[in-house]
This record gives sequence, C-alpha cells and structure tokens, in this order.
Amino acid sequence: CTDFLDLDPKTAQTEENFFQDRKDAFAALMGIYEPLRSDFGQSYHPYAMVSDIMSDDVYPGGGGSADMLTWQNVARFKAQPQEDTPLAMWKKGYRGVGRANQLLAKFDQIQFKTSEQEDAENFKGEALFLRGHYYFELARFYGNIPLSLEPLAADNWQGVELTSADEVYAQIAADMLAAIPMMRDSRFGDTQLGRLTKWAAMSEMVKVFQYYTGYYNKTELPVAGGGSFTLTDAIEMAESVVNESGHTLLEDYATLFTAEGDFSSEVIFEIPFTSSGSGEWNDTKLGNIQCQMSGPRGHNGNMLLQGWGFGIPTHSLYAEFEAGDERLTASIITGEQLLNDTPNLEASYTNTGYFTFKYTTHINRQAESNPDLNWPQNYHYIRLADVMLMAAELNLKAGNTAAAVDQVNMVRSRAGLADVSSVDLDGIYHERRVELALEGHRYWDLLRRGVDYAKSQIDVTNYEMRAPSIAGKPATGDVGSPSDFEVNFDAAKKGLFPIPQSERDLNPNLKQNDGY
Amino acid sequence: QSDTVVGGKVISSDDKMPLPGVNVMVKGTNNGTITNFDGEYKLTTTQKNVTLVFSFIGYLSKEVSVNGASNIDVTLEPDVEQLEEVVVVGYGVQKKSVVTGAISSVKADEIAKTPVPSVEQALQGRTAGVMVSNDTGQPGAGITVRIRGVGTNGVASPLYIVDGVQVENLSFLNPGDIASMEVLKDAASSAIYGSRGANGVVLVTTKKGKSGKLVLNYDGYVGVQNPSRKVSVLNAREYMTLHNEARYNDGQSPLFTEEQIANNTVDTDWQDEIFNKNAVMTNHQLQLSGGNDISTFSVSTGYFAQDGIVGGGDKSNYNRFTFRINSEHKFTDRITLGQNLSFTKTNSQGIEEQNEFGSILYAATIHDPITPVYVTDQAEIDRLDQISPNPVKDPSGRFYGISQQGLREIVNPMAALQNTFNENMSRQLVGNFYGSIKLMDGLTFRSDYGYNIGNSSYRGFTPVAYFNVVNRVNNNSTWTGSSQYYNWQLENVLTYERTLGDHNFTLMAGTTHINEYREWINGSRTNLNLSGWDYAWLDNGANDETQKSNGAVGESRLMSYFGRLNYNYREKYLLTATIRMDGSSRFGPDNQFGYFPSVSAGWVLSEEDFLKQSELISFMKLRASWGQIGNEKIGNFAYLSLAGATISYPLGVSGSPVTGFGILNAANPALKWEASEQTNIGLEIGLLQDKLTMTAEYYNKVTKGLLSEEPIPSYVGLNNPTSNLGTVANSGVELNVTYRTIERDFNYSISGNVAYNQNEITELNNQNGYINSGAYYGHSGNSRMEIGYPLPFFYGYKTNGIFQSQEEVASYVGPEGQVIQPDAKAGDIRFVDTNNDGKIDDNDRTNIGSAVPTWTYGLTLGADYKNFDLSVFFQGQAGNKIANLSRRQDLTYQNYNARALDRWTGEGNDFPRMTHADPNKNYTRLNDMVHLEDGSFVRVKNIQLGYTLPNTIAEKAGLSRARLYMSVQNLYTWTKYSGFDPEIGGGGLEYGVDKGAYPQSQVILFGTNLTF
Repeated sequence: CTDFLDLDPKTAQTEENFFQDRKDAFAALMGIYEPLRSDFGQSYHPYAMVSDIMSDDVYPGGGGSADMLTWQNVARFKAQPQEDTPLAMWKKGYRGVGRANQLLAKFDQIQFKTSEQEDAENFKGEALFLRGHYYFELARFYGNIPLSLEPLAADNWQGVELTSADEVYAQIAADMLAAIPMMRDSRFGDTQLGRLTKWAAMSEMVKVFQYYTGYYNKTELPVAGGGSFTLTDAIEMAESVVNESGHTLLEDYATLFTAEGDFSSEVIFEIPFTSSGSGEWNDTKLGNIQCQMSGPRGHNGNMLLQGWGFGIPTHSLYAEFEAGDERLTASIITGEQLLNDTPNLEASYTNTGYFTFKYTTHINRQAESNPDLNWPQNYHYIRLADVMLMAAELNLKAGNTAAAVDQVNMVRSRAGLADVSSVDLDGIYHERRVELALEGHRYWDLLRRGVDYAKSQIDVTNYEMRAPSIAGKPATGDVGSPSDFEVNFDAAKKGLFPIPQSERDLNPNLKQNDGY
Repeated sequence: QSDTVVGGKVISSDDKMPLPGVNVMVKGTNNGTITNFDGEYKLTTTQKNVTLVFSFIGYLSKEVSVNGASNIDVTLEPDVEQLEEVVVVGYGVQKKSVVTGAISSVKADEIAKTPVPSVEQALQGRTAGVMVSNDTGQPGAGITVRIRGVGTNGVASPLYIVDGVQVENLSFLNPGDIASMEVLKDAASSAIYGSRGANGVVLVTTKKGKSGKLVLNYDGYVGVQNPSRKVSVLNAREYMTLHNEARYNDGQSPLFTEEQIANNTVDTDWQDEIFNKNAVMTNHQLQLSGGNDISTFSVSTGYFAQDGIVGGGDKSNYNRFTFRINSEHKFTDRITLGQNLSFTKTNSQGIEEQNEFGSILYAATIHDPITPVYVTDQAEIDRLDQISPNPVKDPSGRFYGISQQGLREIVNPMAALQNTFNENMSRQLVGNFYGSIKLMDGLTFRSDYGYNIGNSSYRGFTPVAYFNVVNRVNNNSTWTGSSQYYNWQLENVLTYERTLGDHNFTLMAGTTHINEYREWINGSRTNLNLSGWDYAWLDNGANDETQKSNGAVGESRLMSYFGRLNYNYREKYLLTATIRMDGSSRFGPDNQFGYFPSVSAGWVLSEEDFLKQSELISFMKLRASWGQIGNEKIGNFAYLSLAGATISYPLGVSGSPVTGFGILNAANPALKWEASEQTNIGLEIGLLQDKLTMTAEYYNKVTKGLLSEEPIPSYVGLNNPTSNLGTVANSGVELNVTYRTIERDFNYSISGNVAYNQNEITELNNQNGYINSGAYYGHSGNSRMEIGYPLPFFYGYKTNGIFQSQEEVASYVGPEGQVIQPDAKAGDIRFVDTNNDGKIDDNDRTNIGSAVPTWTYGLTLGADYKNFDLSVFFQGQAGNKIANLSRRQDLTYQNYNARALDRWTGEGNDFPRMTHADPNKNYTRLNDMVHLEDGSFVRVKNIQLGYTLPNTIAEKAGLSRARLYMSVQNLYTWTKYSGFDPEIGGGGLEYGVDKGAYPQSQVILFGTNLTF
C-alpha cells in the first residue's frame, strides 16, 4: 500500500511535465528575460549605474562615504571579492544564462502547432540571443568566466573551470549570429513590446565586436564552431540596423527620457519597468530603482522628487558638452536649477552641484503607491544613435571617413549642433560621451581603448574643490574633501571585477582575477 | 441518626513515616478525604459499621472496618511492583530498573519547583546531555533543544510526542499539565520512532485522573520581570572623546570641540529608555481530577500572560490560554477507551531582534548617546514639522530626537518601538482517542487515532514615518496571513506479555500512518485609507494593485512498521531489540523506505548473589546499546526538479507583468534518509539504600548522510539543493548524581548533572570538504562546517596580540622578509599569517572557535525543614564562543561597547586602537580578539522558597494542602560575555551569533499551590 506515500506537488510542475507546448515555452522565455531588469537581486545594482560610477562621468554619491559601501569601493577600484556588487552582477547574469540553457536544452521536445511555427522560431532566437547577451555582460565585468551551454544542476557544476574570454566571446558571437535570422524583423505588437527583435541582436552583436576587438586588441571576433566576424561584417550589420530596421531618431532628444521615449522608434534594446510590481524591497518590485537612486536628496520640486542622490555627474562630463548642445539640459540638471524650482536640496556625498536628468525621479512618472520602488521608466540599453556612432567608428577604422562623418552628423544635427566636416576617433568618443551620457556606456568605451587609456581618463588627482554656485547653498557645488573625489584606476585589475569570494569558496578552480 | 467521626494516622510500613495524600474512602460511597501533611485524616460518616478503603499510589490498598471505633491508625505496605519507578518508553512503560537504554526522566514535582513559561524550559539543566537554550528572551520566543550535541546543520530539534501524538514543538502545552517528560537519548530507546528520532525523542505524558475523591488544585503566581543584564556602552563624554581619538589617529581634526564635550548635557542611556521596568508575568491554573473504578478524568484550564521587558506590554507580550481534558474508561473488563484533548490559544506581539538593521536592541546599544530622546528645542521642532512625511512623535505629541551622526537604519530606538505593530495568533487542538482490548491473557491490541489541528495567523502594520534622511516610510502598509494545518496519525499496536518461569517476554508490533497537511495564504497592501493599527486590514483602501495575495499547500506522509522484543531473566539479564521500517513521501520512489534497527542489553549486578547482601550497593546496572535512527526533516519534493514561477517581466505599453516559469531549484533525485548510528554504554548505581544514586553514560553518535541545504555556486543559476551532505560524530560522557537524606524534620538533596560532548564533522560529500554560512554583514568571515572541525565553527582570523610599536609592525615579516601587515599601525591587531605566505588575506581565515559548548551542567540543591522548603538551581555551559557582531562598521559614529575603553593608547592594552578608517581591518575581519567572546556562563537559574501552611490553618480554609512560595529566576549570571546574554540559541550554521538578541529577564514571582 505504498500508494499512501505517492504525493504530487500542487503549486509547481515537474521538469518532465513542463516544456510541453507553446504556453510553457513562452513562460520559460519570460523567465529568461526576467533578469534583464533585475537591479535589486543583491541590494541595489542597476546595470547602467554600476558601470557609470567606474567611469569618468559619474561619482558614486549617496548619503555618505559608507552609503552603499560596496559600490563606493567599486567606484574607487577597491571592490572586495566578498562584497555585494561583484556578486550581484554575477548572479544576475548566470540566472539568465541558466534559464536560457534550460529552454534551449528542452526546445526540441516542445510541441508547437503548425500555426505556431513562427513563434517557435522567435522564441528560440530570443533565448539564444539572451544567452549571448548575459554572457557578454558577464565577460565585460569579469573577463574569463565559467561557460556552459547545457543546464547546470546539483551534480554537474563541480568540474567547471574558467573559460578564456576568447572562447566566451566566440560563443557569444555564435549564439547571436544564430539568433538573428530566427528573431522577428519588425516591431512587436503593443502587448508584446519589450521582447527583442533581430535589430536588437544585430546592434548588440556590433557592440560585442567593438568591445572584444578593442579591449583584447584583436582585429576580428572568432565565432565558435568556425569562422570569424570581421570589421566588414560589423560595418555591414551596423549599417543594416541604421538603414533597414525602421528605427529612427526621435526629433527631440529630451523626449527619450519622458514617457513618450519608452518604446519609441529610437530604442532598439529596451528593458521595461512598470509601476505595478509587488511593492516589496526586492526584485519583485518592477520599477526602475536607478531612478530612485539618482533623485536628488531632500528635494521635492516641480520637476524632480527626492531620491537618494547616487550617481553624481562629474564636472568633466558637464564640461564635455559644446555650447548650444541641446543634450546638456536633457542630461544634467544643476543644483541651482533645482533650488530655483523649490528651495530644498540636500548635498549628496561627492556632491558636485550636478544631478542626472535622464533616469531619475521625474515627477510625472511618480507612481501612486510605493513611488520609491515603482518608477516606470524603461531603460534604453541600445538606441539608434548609439548604433550610428558605432557605425561611424567602424567606418573610420576601415578608412570610410565620409560615411563616418555622415553618421556623426546625423547624431549631431538632432542635438541642434552644426555638422563637422571631419572626424577622428577622439571626435567620435566625444560625441558618444555626450550623446550617451549617464546611460551606462562610457566605462566600456574607455576600457575598449585599452586599460592605459581608461586609466588616463578615469584617474583624478589633486582635485580642486569648486565653490557652490549659490553662496551658502553647499548642494550647488563640491561638498567634502578633495580625497573624496580622487580616483586611482588600479591598472593591475584591468578594469575587471573580482570573481565573487563565495563562488571561489565553492569551486577553487575559479582563479581570481589579477590584482585581487 | 447521628454523625460519627472517625480519624487516625496513616504511616508507611518500611520507614514508619506519615503518608500525606492517602485516599480514604467510605466503601461503596463517594464520601472520602485525603490525609494531610502529617498523614492524618478525619472523616464523618452517618453509619457506624462502614469499611474504610485506604489507597495510595505505590502502596497496597487496605480495607479496615470501623466497627464503632473513632480512631483507626493504618500502616500501608509498599507495593513492590508499583513502588519501582516507572518510565515511559516508546509505545509503553517500563520499570526503570529493567530499562536498557539511556532515558532521562523529569517529573511533575520537579517542574512545579521552577515555574517556567514553556515546557521545554522545564528540561533546562535538569538532565545531562540535554541542552536547552532560549533563542532570545522575547516572550513566546523559540527554544533550541539539542540532545547529545548537534548532529546536523539542518533541523536538529528532537521529536516531540505528547501522549502518543507527534507534534512540532511543545509551545502549546501548559507546564502545569505535565505529569512526566522522558528524554530518549540513545539510539536503542529512540529507534522505535525510526525515521524521526535521529535528534533524540522527548516523550511528554500529561496528568491523568486517579480514582478516588475529587481533587481540585489551583496553582498560580504573579511576578515582575526586569532585564537581567545590560550591555555596558560608552557614555556621552566617552563617546565624543573616543571618536575624536579615532579621528586623531586617522589624521583628521576632532569632530567634537572641547567646549562641546564640556558643555554637553545630553547623555541618553537608550537601554534604560527601551526597557520596560517591572514587566508583569502571571499564571493561573485550575485542575480538577478524580474518578472511580470505571472512569477517571482530569480537566484543567490555564492562563499565562507575560509582558516583554522591552517596549512595554503593548509592543512585546505573550498570552496563552489552555484547556485540557483527559479521561479513561473501562468499558468492559477487556476493553479500555480513553482520550486526551488540549486546546491552546496564544497571542503575542514582538519587536524585531537579531538583525543589524532593524533590531531595536541592537540600535539601543550602538545609537549615539548625544541625541536626546525627545526634541525640546523649539526651532528644531519647527523644522521637523516642515518635513514630509512627519517625523515620529510619541503619544503625547513630542518629536523623538533624530541623530545627526549618520546612523542610517539605526534610528531612535524609541521611535522605532513606537512604530512597531505586529501580532501573532495561534489556535491548536491536539489530542487522541484510543481503545485497547485484551484479546487473551497477555495479548493486548491498542488502536490510537491522534490529531494536531490548528491555525496560526499574523498581522502587521507600518505607518508613514520619517526617521532620518535615509529612513522614511512614504506609504503606510499592512500585511496579514494565516495558515491552517491538519495532521493526523493512526497507530495500531499489538503487545504480548508472557512469563515463563524466570523468563519474562514482551513482544510488540505495530504500524503508524501519519499525514501532515498545511495550507497558507498571505496578503498585503499599501496606502491604507485610514491609518493606524486598528485599521490595518487589507480591505482598508481602494481595490488596487497594491493589494496582493499568495498562498500554497504542503502535504507529507509517513508510513511505518515496527516491532520490539523485551526479554529479561529474573530482571537480572536484560535484552531489548527493535526494528522499524519507515517510508516517507519526502524521498523519491527508490529511496522512500529506511530501516532502523537497534539492540540493547543490561545486567543488573545488584541482583547477583555477590552483591545482593551488600550494605553499600543497593542497585547496580550495566547496560550497552547500539542502534540506527533516521531523520527526514526536510522540505517536500526536494528530490524532484520543479518548474516554478519566476519573478514577472513587464511587457507591452501598459507594462503588464508576465509571469515566467523556469526550473528554480536544483533537484537531488538521490536524496535519501539521514541515519544516525549510536552506541551507548551506561552504568546506574544506587548506594546506601539509594540515598546516593548515580548514572554515567558514554555515547558515540555518528550521523551519516545528514540532510541539509548544500550551497552550490551562483553560476549554476539555481537555488541550493537539499543533499545528504556528510557525517557528523558526537561523542561524550554524561553523569547524573543525586544525594538525598531523609530525617524527621530536615531533609536535603543535592542533584547534579554534567555532560561533555565532542562534536566533529568526519565527512562532507561536496567538492571541497566544507560549507560556509553566508558572510556576516560587513565582515570578512563566516561560520563554517568542515571535516575535522566542530559543527559549526567560526571561520575567521586568528590574532596574536597588538602591535605595541611601529617597529613591531616592521619586524613582523614573512618568509621572504616582506612586511606582513604594511598597513598596520601601532595599536592594530597582529593577525596570524596561517598559510605563511607573507600577507594577510582571506586565505588566512581559519577555525577561531565554535559556538557549541563542550560542557553543559546543572546543579539543584533542595532542602526542607518542617513546613519550609528551599531549592536552588544552577545551570551553565562552557567551552563555546559567541560572535558578538554588535558593530556596524559602515556607520562611523555609532556608539561602542565599553570594551572600547580598553583600547590601545600606548604600550600595554590588548584591544585595538580607535580608528574609523581601520586600514588594518581590525573590526571587519572576523577575529578572535574583537568579535569572538567566551560564551561560558553559570547562572542561578532559580531560587525558590516555599512554605506549606500547617493543616490546622489550611483546613479552616477548606483546603487539604496549601503552599506559598517565592521564586527568583535568573538572579545572577557569571560570564565574561560583554553582550546582553550569553544564552543564545539559533539553528543551522549561524549558531551563537549575537546581532541584538532579547536578553533573558530576571523574574521575581509570588505563587501558591492550593489543593481542595
């Protein structure tokens, strides 16, 4: 009578009876997408901000030198292997990779109806692409990483070793190239917006090429399974996105960071956020925590509401904007402007008198309940202007100067600036810096020109404190002591994070990165 | 017709001592009485020729005809069969003298001597090898019970069985209802419970009625509680001076000027503020019992209420109402029917503790003392009034002071207390219905249906509040939840007893089916329309998306077959063998069943001719046992790979959350029973007519395949699986010694127990031979289990004193002459370079001590003189470490434990210098100088002085017995520990970690026991 002992789970399916049909496949696909917006899995770690604080554009900010200590350390290149930040980005990436591997491993057993063949194709393409995307994030942060294309489980993780970055990037390229033809080639309908099309995959593929060849000083990107992805391929792909995707630049740059900017024609790789999450202090809230973190401290005005004052723009970023560049006011708001709006503002740690105006506490995005957790502002990870500038840079490298100049001017003219007649690499870097300011690209741009270049741009020595622009209002200038603002990029670490200590404790095969 | 009065005295035949409490009944009537303290009785009858029946437990009943006599003295003969102490074993009782396993027993009278809120606490310090520690001092808080060490990093609490019914814990029981508690320590005793006995078994028997006169008892006490200890912290002047010193050491200018220090008037003692003086604790219990030859019953009801010593009675409290009815009926000569039933309702409220962020107690020890409790400065009041949301006010409208020292989550403890609202409730019905039938001489069948039905619910509320710049609550919220459970068990047992000449056999065989079922539902919402604790209900607001709910169900089953043979020859040579087979739904089909055998033998040497005539040795028994027992306390379906809902991903212009699915947990299809194998050797000796008794035990317990969460790397992308992780060995020695003398007016007794336990992991089946707990917040270091070390131990940095000078720093060099601690300054810790690689880093972490005590002991002194009785009870432990994590290193201007006053300021002191920058990581590297402290303690757990009223007075009040007592609990604790309380429990790897636990209170009680 052992029937007495036969019980089945009531709120979960077993692996055997999951992965049956389209519904299951779609659910599994959503599981793969989910970590994209995971900025609160291990304390607050919005992806764009974590990289920006390491760049020359942003200081960590916050309430004091110990506020988010883990991330203050990251910003000073003193990350500790046992701290939250290295673990946060690691966990997020591998959660995505693991779920992609699960769906891909079971994909062939799923029964799609004939009418669902297009969905099947899309799902598989998106899963492959997202696996590539997560591995790309991981590879940029950690260098050599564990690479697995099969689901890992309790009994097969032990022998895992670090895979060299060359192999990891080759696999990323293979996944993305395989995914592109399977993915949808036009915008999804209103209810499915947020899913990714082949244009997102192509754009990121170009980004992968640029980063890999830059950081590792290579001419081409190997593709797992044979072949390589060359500069010519990259140019062709970038131009295809610029010319054929149907994505267009928005007329007004500032619109990008309003409600109309979300799912707009310029955004190619969009990570959606919404105000209807759980309202709990973890990832089940579905709002964009970067907004809450960026909002100015102690300020409740008519434009911005109070936030935590993290991610303070530097003077060097502010100075990068040319006179007449419309992007400045859309990117940065000054303490003076905030005080003119409403006379309350507290200084942040590493206060400079500047605050981001992009992903922040815009009053018209405030949710009715739990506004701290519920900022519904999407993160535009890749938008068309970025691809145009990548195309320009690739063209410049290939000697197609005229095309490069054209592509830079497309971006400039939208910003209300006069065309340039010639452009060099520094010129494109300048354009990227102001066009994509505070959107999570600058640090990687610096690193891919070489560790020495990154160091030359990031290091801050002999910092001179700036007086407040309004006397008696410290929040309109630098606050603290010069040492708070000084940064020493530790070249020995090559810009990488440490492998999390807890991972190395479990698997000593994972060699720690240099410098840690 | 006239009344006849009969009186007299009842004495015992063996020592000629008066017998109090003897039942005296007029035969064939309900007329009766019981003898008083001096063995005297007085009875009025309406007839002269009646027969009196004298009966008393442990004695043969006697019938005497009155025949007109007015004085009848009676001598009762001990019933040799009954006088023998009886202990409850699994599925039966046995005479103590023939028991072959290691079983400790605690009886009702011992429990009555130390009034305790919960039943588990009645075991504390009473028996060797049973370690009981209160998790915290919060009323109604959990209690950690460990029998013979910790055998697993999973659930290590014993199996509890109350009147045959398996229950999760004993919190529903009223201690006053307990007749006896037996702790089955060795495998031979607990193997009959097979799969669930690996951590030992606690059998509880509740009070049953006795035939005879109705007896009404009232037990009650009322007492006041105060904190038993305070943490010594810096006062305002010391606080300012030491922080200035730290800044000076870090090359910064002072934060506080000389004038500020001299003129400061605020010196808040936060502990004084949060502690609730003279918190009340009361208990009342009424018990009525009695019966006749056919039916006996016992009914009781009890009410216990305890206010917490933190925050006052409306923030931290515990109330318990209990009702019980036990009865047994002889349906026919062959058939007996009976039932036990108890209903318990508890309500409690509590404050957050053991948390670096939210614990009010933690905050009270590290909040700066220069912030006033209340704001009195009008300008500041006006400023605070402008802040939205409004800062927290006390009920009379005063703003609570807000620290200017950047303490983040460490907010004004009084404000945090003010805004704490929560409530937990439970209702539980536990009982059974049984019948037994004598099928033939010696053969009995018993069937028993037990149930444990209940629900528990909770509710909480967070009001809108401003605590400080980084801590504000913009929207109020409430949450509520409830769970219902329905557990049943059906047991059928056949017992056959037979004596063939000098050979005595008992054979027993049985089956058990257990079903455990629980369902739960939780909900929450924010933005309540009406604010306040009274309105904190889910429907208070628009039906919007902030209103959430979730729920699920869990069910598990167990099916078992078991058998036992007891054999003895002339009660001299003893043998017991058991076998149990258990199947559990928690394991996959291939691993469902486990087999748990045991065998034990005893030799009663005192029955041998060479000892029978001994004047010195009255009893002596040598016994040995071996057995295997199991453990299946894990979650359901851990063997299966399950697809569950992931967090949602918002899709579409409206941002609709779309739920994803994925495999979330790493499955372990090979998951199987944890088995504990134990060998036990015991010696029982009674000397000088049992005035001195002694029990000594040696045991060796090896837990194999221990079930636990196995940490796997995050790159797997799944939550940790449950695995059979390894092997833990516990071995130890236990000793119980009791000496008691009986004089005419003065009796005294000394009873002590001591246990030594050594615990070691001998095998771990994962890659690297160790498992870490999570890192402790802000610290490099954690707890760990590892082959060759105790479970768990603290894994951190060993220290070797303080660098007394910069020269010492420079001369502390590695194998190649490199300075090992280049960042260190004089006054910093000299860390041991354990791997001798010339630098201090994570790889130098090592075993710096274990939280598991090697010695536990208890000592009870008892004495009575005439009507007075006195007992003093000590309890203690030694050999364990506590990790005192009472610093938040990320908060620069926190207050410090007074240990900081011994900081290094020049050559000599042995505590690190003051520094905020802490380049040497004195405070963030978990080490044996700053963090680990000796957790040994000796505690005067209880002193009780009682006075029994002389009969003449008691009788006038209609009482047969009346006793008054005064008791003091936790009077004093000897310990070197600098935190609140060295008595810290906790489960799993994070054992013995103090992050602001609620201390035990010191209690003064006045109570009475009345028998009508």
